[in-house]
Amino acid sequence: MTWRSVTFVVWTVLGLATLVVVALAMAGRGRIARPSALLFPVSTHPVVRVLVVLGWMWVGWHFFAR
Amino acid sequence: MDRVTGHGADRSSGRRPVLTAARVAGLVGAAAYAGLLASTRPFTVEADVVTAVALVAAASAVVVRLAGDRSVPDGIGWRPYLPWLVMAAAVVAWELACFFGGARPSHPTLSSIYDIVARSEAAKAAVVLAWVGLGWALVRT
Repeated sequence: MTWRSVTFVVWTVLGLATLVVVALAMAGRGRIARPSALLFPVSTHPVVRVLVVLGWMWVGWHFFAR
Repeated sequence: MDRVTGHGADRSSGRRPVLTAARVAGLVGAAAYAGLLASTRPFTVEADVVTAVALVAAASAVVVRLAGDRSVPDGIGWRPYLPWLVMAAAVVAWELACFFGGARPSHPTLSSIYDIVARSEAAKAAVVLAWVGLGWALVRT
């Protein structure tokens, strides 16, 4: 197995693990925050909001412009 | 509804129409923007300018939002977010391991995986649309 294959396998496992967390959050009773609530912390402090939006801006610039 | 975890349904506010004229206009505009940005190539003036449109719009919206928001932050618990933090830490750790691990073809990062996906203009437009949707949610939340 090549390193490239190993890397893709790990990325796939991480993606599937994220889906498991989503499923557990949707099926649970509040022990795990639902995806729709993940942005709630953003609304609680202006500094957090600015930092998160700056991160979003960097992602867009990195992927689409540079 | 629990504002922190998102569990439970708030039935007191009644049902609101899902598709309003403003929402339809927003979706059409976002789709058009996604198509336009997907048609550009990175490292060109066109890509810089079209990407910057969304950045300036988001920055302006945040400034307006912060100027008008004087609400006191609520206290939130961290436990409902722990699994998400663990997943985010794992993704960041693997991204860094790939980034510093050696040659990119052998250790593809999220960026190089995106480069593969973005060879299709339709797939790139879908990524742009998701990015715009996330930005809208970040500004609106």
